[in-house]
Amino acid sequence: MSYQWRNNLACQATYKILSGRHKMDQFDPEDYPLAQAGNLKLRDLRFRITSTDAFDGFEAKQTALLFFRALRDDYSPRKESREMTSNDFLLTLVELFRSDEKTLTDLAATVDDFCKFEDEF
Amino acid sequence: MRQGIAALGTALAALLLTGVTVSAEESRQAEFSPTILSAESDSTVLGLSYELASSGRRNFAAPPAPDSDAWEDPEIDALEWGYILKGVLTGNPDDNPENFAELDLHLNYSRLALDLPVQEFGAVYKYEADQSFDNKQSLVGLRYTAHISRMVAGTYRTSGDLFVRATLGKVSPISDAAREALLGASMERYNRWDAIALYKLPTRDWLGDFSEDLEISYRYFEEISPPDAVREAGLDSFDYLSVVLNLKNNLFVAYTEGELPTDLDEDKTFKLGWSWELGELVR
Repeated sequence: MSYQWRNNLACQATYKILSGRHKMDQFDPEDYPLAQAGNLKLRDLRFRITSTDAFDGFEAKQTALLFFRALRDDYSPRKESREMTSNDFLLTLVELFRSDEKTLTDLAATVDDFCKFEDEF
Repeated sequence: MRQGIAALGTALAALLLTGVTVSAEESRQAEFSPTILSAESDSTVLGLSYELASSGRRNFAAPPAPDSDAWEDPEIDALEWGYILKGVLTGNPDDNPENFAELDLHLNYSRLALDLPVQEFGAVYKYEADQSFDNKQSLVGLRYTAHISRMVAGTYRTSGDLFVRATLGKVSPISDAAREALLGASMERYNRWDAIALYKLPTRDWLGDFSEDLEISYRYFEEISPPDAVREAGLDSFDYLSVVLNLKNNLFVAYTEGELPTDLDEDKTFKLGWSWELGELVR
């Protein structure tokens, strides 16, 4: 069964990190309230270069790094399992941000796959 | 050209067979965006910009997970490869102010870490042509790309992003009417460098909430040690300026000026447009 956008910590963290003016500011929360943001595509976020194809999605890397840092520093999640590495998590994030099809729900699903939040400790 | 392709192919095969890699990912995408193009010398025409891409990555130097459930700092060394085919089509190629199509085949070393600028460096093979393929050439070379951000203190957002990509390579003209007229039918390969710098600047604070950001890019091509005839004809360098204001709902206003190596008709172009994707239809 596919992941559902819902009011859990993975979805909340994904939403707040991307939308907050003091976080990554990738979209306006007035345009996409939390309950409706799950279908928002990552390609429509502000980090994307739209005027030229010359950089071939290169901007996804920095965005993934910033998302990883914001998630780790502000939400202090633990690894879902000790075998996981930050490298694997980060590369998964890069592919998501580079994708033209993935949504905030896909991003939250990845966060949930990799992370355990305080209500799960 | 064949040597360049063979070298890239060999490197790719070696990479695929290597035993030190730990994981690989592949991705594909296709995008088509209708645009309205208006050239200074022509009437307005409807164009279709397209991009087909495939990429993969193999990671190496992957350390084992530390015996902890806390997230350590990521530090990634990876080889990445892929192709991108892109360009702009119009009904009549002569009406196309962005008369340029490109195939880009690349193999890059990439490093990712929290406190380093994002960079990659590697080999590239490019095939460049105009829409009608009357003028075409290939390039084999080395390419460097970097992304430097200026962060807003206390946040994870940027107040400006600078992207730079530079390429140094050997160009093999396949069909080039302008050079042929100057140098005769036996056109020799030549060295060229090119670079593009793009600055992306959020505009909502000073233009209002209807706007998103401004993207200003400048691209420059220069032939190294060109023949006198090429220099005197002004075919040794080209530049291209683009200024795009992105608005809400995928709308944009764009101004472009300049010429590209396979499109010598310098034009000032003003565009109004929107974009969407039809990727699933071509998979």
